[in-house]
Amino acid sequence: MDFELKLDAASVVLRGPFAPEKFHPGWFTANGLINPDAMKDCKVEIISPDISGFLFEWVRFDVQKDRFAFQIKDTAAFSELLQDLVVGTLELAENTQVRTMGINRDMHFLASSLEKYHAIGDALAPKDVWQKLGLDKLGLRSMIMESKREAPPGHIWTKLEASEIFGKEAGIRLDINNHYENQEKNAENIIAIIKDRWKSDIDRSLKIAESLLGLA
Amino acid sequence: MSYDTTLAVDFAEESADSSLKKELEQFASPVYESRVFEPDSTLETYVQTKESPPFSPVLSKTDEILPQKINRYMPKGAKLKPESRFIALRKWEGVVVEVENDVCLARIRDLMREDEAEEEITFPIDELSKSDRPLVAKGSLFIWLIGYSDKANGQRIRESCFIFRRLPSWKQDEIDKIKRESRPLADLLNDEEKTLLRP
Repeated sequence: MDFELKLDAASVVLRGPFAPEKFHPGWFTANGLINPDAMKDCKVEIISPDISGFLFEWVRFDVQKDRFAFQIKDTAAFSELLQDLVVGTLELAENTQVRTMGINRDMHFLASSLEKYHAIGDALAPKDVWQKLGLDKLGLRSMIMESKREAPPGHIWTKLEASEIFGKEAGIRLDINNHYENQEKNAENIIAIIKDRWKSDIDRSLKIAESLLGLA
Repeated sequence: MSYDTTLAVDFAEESADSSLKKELEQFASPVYESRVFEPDSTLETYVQTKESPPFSPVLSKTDEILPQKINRYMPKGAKLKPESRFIALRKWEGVVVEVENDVCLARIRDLMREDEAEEEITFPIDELSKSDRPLVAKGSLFIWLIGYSDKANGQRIRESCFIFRRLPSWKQDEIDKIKRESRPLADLLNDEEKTLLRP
């Protein structure tokens, strides 16, 4: 195996406005969105009118006045539960406006060798163009490829960069952002998109990553 | 006209343009306070109005998982990522078919090997966490996971767990809509079949 998936996180980012102080651990358990047993493992970082940050064993919440993020770190296990959580939150938080949404999958792959690691950069960003400029010791640090989507409006960003979680070992991070614009700003539209496209977005994100790493 | 400068500063922090960052910072302190200012040519590219049309690259970004703003509020030494993790080896989606004598009969579908046929399983309700037990009913959906649970202390435990899905309940207007839409189909049934319908 040339690349091993070591960290497979996913997140949903909503752009609001939101009221951060409304969203605290008790709100999620009282409304049946999170198992009440999970409260014993809940870690609260901050709850204030400006920002709320807390995490349960499997999901993390960051709520700001203009941004609501749900994050899991084990996508293969908890993807469907994250979907339920976001849909449930939007259905219960009445009159919530959502301008945009991202369904994201953030993957870190450990490379089996430095050669395999460099092969990805060489395939996606050939160095000869740069060498002609007199530059040497070249290496791809980061790139984003955008694919626009007409309906529902938005885009897919595929961000590839050197992973920094492996210390001295070489790794590649692939962060796929499935971005949706919501001109009507109504939460119902976002809920419909999640129900319709969740599985395909999550699955396709992994396929994109595996296909790109297959270039090595 | 109102501008959200805090996001623009974040954008500048991500870029290598330190002069832009410095220029923006004077408009964005403290972190969460938005200021009102007149646009100039340097900033126009980066700062979008709140009334901007939908495709505003700064205000609509949805790709960042952990914004730098969070770090400023974190207690010293606190970790941003949860410490334990679960590595799924097998995963099924199930639906409860019947519950009898505290035993569930369920139909399951393998989510990791989608070409596998559906299977039926039984499991005692005792397998579930206490707070999940009230969710068990005919038609309930659940995820069955088998995998490694890596604990913060480095311990790895092989676990099997059933997690019942906490789907939002149906709203009355949704129920009414479904009833309205299904009425023409119900009219196709004969009298005997209609007696089997729920009110």
